[in-house]
Amino acid sequence: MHDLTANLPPPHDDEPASLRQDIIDELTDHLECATRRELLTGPSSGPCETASDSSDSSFRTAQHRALTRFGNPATIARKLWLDAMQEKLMAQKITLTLAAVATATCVVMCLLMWQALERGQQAQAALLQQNQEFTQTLLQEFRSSQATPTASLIADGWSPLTIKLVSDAGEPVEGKVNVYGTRIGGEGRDMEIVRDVGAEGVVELGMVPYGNYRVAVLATAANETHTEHFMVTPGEPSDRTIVCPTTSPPEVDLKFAFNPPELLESAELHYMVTLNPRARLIGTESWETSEGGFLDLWVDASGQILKQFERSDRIAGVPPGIMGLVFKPAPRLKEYVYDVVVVGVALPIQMDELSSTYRWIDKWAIVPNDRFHPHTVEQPFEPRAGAENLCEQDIPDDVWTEVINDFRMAPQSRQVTIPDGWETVTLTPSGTSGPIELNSRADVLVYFPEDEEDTWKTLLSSAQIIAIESPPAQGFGGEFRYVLLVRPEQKAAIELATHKTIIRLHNSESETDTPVLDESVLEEIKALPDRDEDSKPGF
Amino acid sequence: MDTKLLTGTLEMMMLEVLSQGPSYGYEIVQTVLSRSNGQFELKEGSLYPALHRLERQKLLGSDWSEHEGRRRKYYKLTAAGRKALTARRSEWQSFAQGVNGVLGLDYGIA
Repeated sequence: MHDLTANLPPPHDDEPASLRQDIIDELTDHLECATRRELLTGPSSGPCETASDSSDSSFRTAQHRALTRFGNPATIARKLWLDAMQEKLMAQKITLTLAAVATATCVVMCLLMWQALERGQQAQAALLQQNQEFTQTLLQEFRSSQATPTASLIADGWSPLTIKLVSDAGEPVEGKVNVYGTRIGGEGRDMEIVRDVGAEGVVELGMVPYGNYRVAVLATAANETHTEHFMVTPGEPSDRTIVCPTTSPPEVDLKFAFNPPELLESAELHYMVTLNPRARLIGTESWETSEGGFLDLWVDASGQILKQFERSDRIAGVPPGIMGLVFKPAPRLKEYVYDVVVVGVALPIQMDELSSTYRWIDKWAIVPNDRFHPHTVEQPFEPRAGAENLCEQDIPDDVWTEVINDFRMAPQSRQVTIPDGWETVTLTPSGTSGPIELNSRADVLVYFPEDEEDTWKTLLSSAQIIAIESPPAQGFGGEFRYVLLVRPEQKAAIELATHKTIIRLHNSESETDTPVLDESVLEEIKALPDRDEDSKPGF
Repeated sequence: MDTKLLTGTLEMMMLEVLSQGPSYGYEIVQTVLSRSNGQFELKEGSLYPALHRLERQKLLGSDWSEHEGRRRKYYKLTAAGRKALTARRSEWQSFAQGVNGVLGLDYGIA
């Protein structure tokens, strides 16, 4: 019989267990039937009837003829096996193909990543190499500069800097220098050097980078300072020679003179004067005292400088928020040109009567700035050593008016000596009526009809408030009392007018009444003599 | 018989033989030969790939039985195979009527 398994592929993992045997059994059955048919007499016999025994030659002939009709059974068996396994083989091929593609993709990706890493490592190595070379170069330059610090020509923008301090005569001067530099295009201080300059007058600051520099010099003997700017140029040594003072200016004596009104001449006024010393020229450079700019001086009524003071809101014992003064000994003024910047006036007031709005110290109260208007003068004054230096200050009338108004509130005003030929009259707003208004911030205000102007001027034009008395615990309805300084004849008229309720003193909050004039009183008033301008108190 | 005319009708004839009852490969060949009066003598080797294809298409089912000491595979028509046979038979009739019409066989035209 023909070997049906000759052309079958080798066993496969996915192959059903009975597939090969089924194919062989089916084809074997077919060939057996066909062979038996050939052994019979004709093809018209039954499909697969049992054949009778025959000789071997007849059997082989029948078998051969059956195979001829059938074809190659091994080939057909192979085809049947392949048809049965086609789907599984195809799926396996697809799986293998996909696996191969995935593997290839992974391999390619790994290759690309490896190449990228390789390139990155190469770049890092190159960068590291550059950094090492740069660092080595810097190190070499640094060692080189250390070895030759005074080299006149240094590469890469570093130059030696030397500062010399000399007098007008070229002699060395001792002092101190403070140098700081800023690189070109930089901001702030890139470097700062502070050095003492000895008797040789020279300080070598070593190698500095090029850029803009500022040097502040203190001439120790003169106690004066000077500041200047310069540039350090790459590769060029910088030698700065600065002409310095060798002695400070001589001391001077100084007194002030003020112009208080007559009313305040007997008051113990004090003054605050602020001076600003100007710089002086030494050679072509300006030098200024190292003791600071503005000098705040405390001066008495005679113009004598008593003390120097500073303003401070942090003084032990002073209420919070109150600006006080800290006193120091009077300074020794020197022969500078001074600018008199500000002159102020202080009133003597007892501590227990001070308003919290007053600046205060010890037993002196300073009228607040918004009331006494410090007098700004900007007046130059140039005292000379050995001379009698009198710095006269002409304080304007409007400033004095403010001071007087504040002075009226002070108890000291009651102690003012009444000038000869003058008397006082005390009025209260509720006790009078008429065209008069008392304003504590100004003089007596007079409202009058146009046709009675002269009469009322005669009556009140020279009247001045010299004091405002606080209301006593009892009486006067709790109102302030206004003390007016008037001529004797004016006093009689005012008291008469008050008695006749013609004059009304009222507060600023009160409405102004239309004046009602009594004809008889008006006649008396008109009969009064004209006021004498020369006999007015010196307000 | 021209084998070109046989192309495409082999599966229909196998389904038709099996519609009469279960049968095996050799018997199917002989039945077709007998019922076609010897006109359709199938090449036996090409029968089995066609039977296996129809079986994979679920148009045929199969059972094994023992016969004279040998295993024999019997094929039978499934419900799907019966539907397919009906459809192919209808197609064939339409085709044959068309051809006969052209040839004038059904209307006695010479």
